[in-house]
Amino acid sequence: MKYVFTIISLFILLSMNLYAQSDWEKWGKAENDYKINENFRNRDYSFESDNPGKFIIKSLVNGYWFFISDVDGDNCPFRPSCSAFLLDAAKETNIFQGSLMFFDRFTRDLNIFKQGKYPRVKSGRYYDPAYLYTLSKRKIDYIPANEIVTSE
Amino acid sequence: MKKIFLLFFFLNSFAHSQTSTLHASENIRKFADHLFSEKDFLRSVSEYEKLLRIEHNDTLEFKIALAYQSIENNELALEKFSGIKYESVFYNESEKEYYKTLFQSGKYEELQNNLSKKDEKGFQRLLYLSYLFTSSELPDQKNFSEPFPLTERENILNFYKQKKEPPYKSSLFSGLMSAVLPGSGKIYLGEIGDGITAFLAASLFTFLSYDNFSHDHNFRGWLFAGLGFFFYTGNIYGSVTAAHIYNAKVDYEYNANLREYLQNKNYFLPPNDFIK
Repeated sequence: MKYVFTIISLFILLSMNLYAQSDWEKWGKAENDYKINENFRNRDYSFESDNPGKFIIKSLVNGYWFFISDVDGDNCPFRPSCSAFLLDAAKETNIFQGSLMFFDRFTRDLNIFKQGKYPRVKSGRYYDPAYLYTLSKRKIDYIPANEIVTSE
Repeated sequence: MKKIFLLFFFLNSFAHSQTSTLHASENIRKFADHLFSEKDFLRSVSEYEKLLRIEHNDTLEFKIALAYQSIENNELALEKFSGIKYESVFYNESEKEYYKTLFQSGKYEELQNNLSKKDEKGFQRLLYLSYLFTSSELPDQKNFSEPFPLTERENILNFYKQKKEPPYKSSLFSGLMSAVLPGSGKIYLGEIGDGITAFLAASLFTFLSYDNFSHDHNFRGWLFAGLGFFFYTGNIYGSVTAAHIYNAKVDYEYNANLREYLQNKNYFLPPNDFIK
């Protein structure tokens, strides 16, 4: 039991090497776009919500955006991003179910083997909207992995 | 002298003027057929319609309908196919193409209502194939495969079996598995990476909580316990939703494979000589 934490930490640390930059990629031409993403810039910081639960979630997300995300940058590999997913999830369902949806999404985000499992938006990020996870089968609109979703 | 030269050059242009009219019916038809064979269907329709203004011709009407069908403008194709009269030599073909268009556009109920009383094998095949896309009750296996050629029966029966018993996975079972061992429900659904991550996240926070409580760090103990609880329950919830998505994927792949197979087989209708 003593070494479990060490083994898990070592596993996570060593797994980073799987996606380490290979030598030839280092010198390849980078297609950089230095424009700030419009969605990122036009975040809605309002506190408008129709119930106290959603107000709490919106306050937490606003705080995260203002103090962390806006400073750190738009790094989430998913669209909507995990914080926006939490808001969408709470809007689609309720605060408790929305939180469960968020923790499931966050676990999937932690998975380092997620490549090739989701459709993508034009920018290359994984498209994973909240409405797929509401337990309502009618809302599930299956899109094959790696297909480009042009709506965003 | 200057005027004579100018007049000479001017009159000279008539010597090379066009002798046949470019917009003669025959030329329009040739051009339209060329566009049609090159699969430039929309422009071929506008050329055929020019001809129809001059003379009535059921071949052109049929080709216009085929062109609309090919570009999946199903409403117009249905209108054009149903406009072909009983006296026309294309009546039988257009009837089949009409039902094929209904099939293509996903109007299965209308198709089933129309074809349920027809005995011809071509129609029966379309009728049975439409059952594979709807929730209607399927005929028994032997009757179902009977109208199809022997060489295709095995493929058709594979789709039949998939329709009857789709390889769905149970959302309840995957949720229960994740409740017993975090992440195992996801592994059951083939999401091995997600499963391992969920197991690591839940066990890591449980260990951190246990370790902090055992060292009398109660605040941190409760904090990690809360996080561990949400990772654990979130994973159970996620396993249930992942099973729903897995089943949606099964349906999607079944429909896509069946549709592709039928398009390659031209819906078991005789091939049309116009499109080559």
